[in-house]
Amino acid sequence: MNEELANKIIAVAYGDAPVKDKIRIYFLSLKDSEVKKMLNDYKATAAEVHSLGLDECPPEIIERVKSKTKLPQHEEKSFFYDIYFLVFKRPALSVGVMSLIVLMIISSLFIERPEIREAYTKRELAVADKQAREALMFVSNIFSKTETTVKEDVLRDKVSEPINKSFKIVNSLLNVGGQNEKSN
Amino acid sequence: MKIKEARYNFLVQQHKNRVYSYSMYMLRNRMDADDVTQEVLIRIWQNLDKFKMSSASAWIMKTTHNLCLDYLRKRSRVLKRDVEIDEIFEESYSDDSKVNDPSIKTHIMMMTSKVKEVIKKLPENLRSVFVLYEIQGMKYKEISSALDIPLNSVKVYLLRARKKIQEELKNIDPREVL
Repeated sequence: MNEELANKIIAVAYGDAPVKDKIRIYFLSLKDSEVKKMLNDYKATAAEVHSLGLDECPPEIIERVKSKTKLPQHEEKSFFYDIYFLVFKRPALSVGVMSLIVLMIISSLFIERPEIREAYTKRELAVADKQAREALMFVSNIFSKTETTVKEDVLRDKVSEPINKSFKIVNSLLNVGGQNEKSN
Repeated sequence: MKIKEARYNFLVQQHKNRVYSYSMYMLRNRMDADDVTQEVLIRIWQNLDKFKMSSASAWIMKTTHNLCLDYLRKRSRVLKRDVEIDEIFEESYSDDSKVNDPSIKTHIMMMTSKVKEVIKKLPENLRSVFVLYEIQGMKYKEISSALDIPLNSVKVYLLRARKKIQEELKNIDPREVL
């Protein structure tokens, strides 16, 4: 087995090979038992390595550091910590929230909302019809009363009479004017 | 001051286990790892204004690595401590495992312990790259900047480390593990 192929097998086993190599090695391992064995051995080791967690830092170290740096001994989870936590530790959360908001805006723009149709009973319709008629009758009464008032009171007293008076004055003035001309 | 404290607390929460873990792999000694971790955490506080939050990870790992190298250099002058082997064993027992069967649990713990042991036996340059990449999950670029080595060297060291670990594990007698 050449070195290049061996390196590719190792990369595939540790999971950081390109997809092209992964497919190639997979098919090669089906044909070649040596490749298969090497791949399986490395895969087992990689799984073992990746299962190793980080060692827990003893809390007494943190306490010692805090006393040396004169920081508060207790761990305060302040507002600032929360902000930093959101911004740096959980960028995925921020991205998720942002995507959700964007998605909601887009969907509200593009997705057709169903027309709201409310079903009414016949009785409700009849009541509504009656009320509408009553309202229209009421309005009609007001209009007719207004018309009568305008015709009988406003037009006769406030408009016709002053106009008649003014015409009479004009006529009398014209008559007086005519008589003066004749006498001259 | 409160913002500085918040930044510091955030960085400590994020990196304390990474720093401690890296020191443990590099120094193979709990007392020295404790000292290095403490020193790194103090230096973070002292230099908090000198680095950006975005580049904090690289700065912290670089500082940790350099301190580990200092300790290794110092240690090469004195005798290796006996405590080392006991610690690896003790450490394996302190690991959490959800498996209840005592024989399987013991097997897993022993295997994990063996893998850890093999990693700790790697040459220092291969070990640092391997731990940062495989255990700490850092990227090639981050490792290159943290360890001050070219990107290609990171890739080469990683490949060598993987091969060496495989070789070492092959040499371990299965009965030793079981």
